[in-house]
Amino acid sequence: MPPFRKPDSAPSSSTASDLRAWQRLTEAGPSRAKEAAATWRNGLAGFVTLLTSALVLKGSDLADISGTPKWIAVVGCLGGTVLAIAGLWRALAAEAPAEAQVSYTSVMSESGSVAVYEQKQALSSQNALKDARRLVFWALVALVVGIGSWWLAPVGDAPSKIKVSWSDDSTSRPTMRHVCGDLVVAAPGQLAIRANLATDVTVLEISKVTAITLTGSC
Amino acid sequence: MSGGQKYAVGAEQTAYKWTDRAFELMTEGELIVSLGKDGIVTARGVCPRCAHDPNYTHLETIVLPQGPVGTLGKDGRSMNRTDQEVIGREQYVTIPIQCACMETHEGRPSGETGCGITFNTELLAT
Repeated sequence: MPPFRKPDSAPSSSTASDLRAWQRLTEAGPSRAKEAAATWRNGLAGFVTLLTSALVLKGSDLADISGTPKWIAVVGCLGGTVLAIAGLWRALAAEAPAEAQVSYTSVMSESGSVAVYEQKQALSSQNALKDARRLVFWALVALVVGIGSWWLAPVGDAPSKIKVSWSDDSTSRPTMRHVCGDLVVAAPGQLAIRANLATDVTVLEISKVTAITLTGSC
Repeated sequence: MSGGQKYAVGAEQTAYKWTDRAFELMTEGELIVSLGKDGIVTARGVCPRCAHDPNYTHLETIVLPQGPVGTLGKDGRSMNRTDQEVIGREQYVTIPIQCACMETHEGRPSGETGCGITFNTELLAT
């Protein structure tokens, strides 16, 4: 197959202007890549700031939940924050790549021209930005899972019941007894406890009470 | 046809005779047009119109944004201008070449180079 052949047609009237426009696109490539990286960096910086502030302010609320949902929330929120920070790092690397001494000869031998070299740099920035986008995607997934777990997790029961130990001396030998339930209104010097779902109230003399414990459930 | 020619204007800029003459010059080895694997198009030798060295270098593959699809979904990619111009039959690609000679041509707009013509070549894609 010959390396070239005769074209069937001449270029269109717009070809010359298209080529000039293409040249402008070529020359603008590196700055365009940096502008895109700067946009991502700004957005990510705001996102990470918001995220870390929210975690600092609300992170202690995680203590209210317990068990697996708590760990999903902790891992999701912290993992998401770490991934978002890593994404920000890559976006920064795309915007401001490391510089090093490069010789004209090496650029020419590796790239053939400065324009090709610039395009390679632009592509490198775009690849770093691609990494940043992937990291942010997974950061969002981790955060959605973490925050979802946080919101939906049942809040641990606050101790609202009372467990009372008392000495029953109505028998021949004093016996230690226990009762657990809600504390209800009682006369002075007495303690009234309504056991779970019971209608009867146990009324005790405070002097007979030997121990009182607050508990989440009886 | 060399030296002192006016800058081509209007239909003369893309007349088929330049494409035809370029093919003759390429056949005679007077004009060398190459498309490198790295996407650099070069044309050296004799311009079909002014006979100066066309001194043409062009990047076929550059990095371009691909619109909003690149946000969190598909990523941007390198764009090849000849993607849209690949000839359906066999593996030849149409490469337009502009004369970018450094010699003076009357009437040439400031900032421009060459004698004003653009011609087509068809190269075997490698």
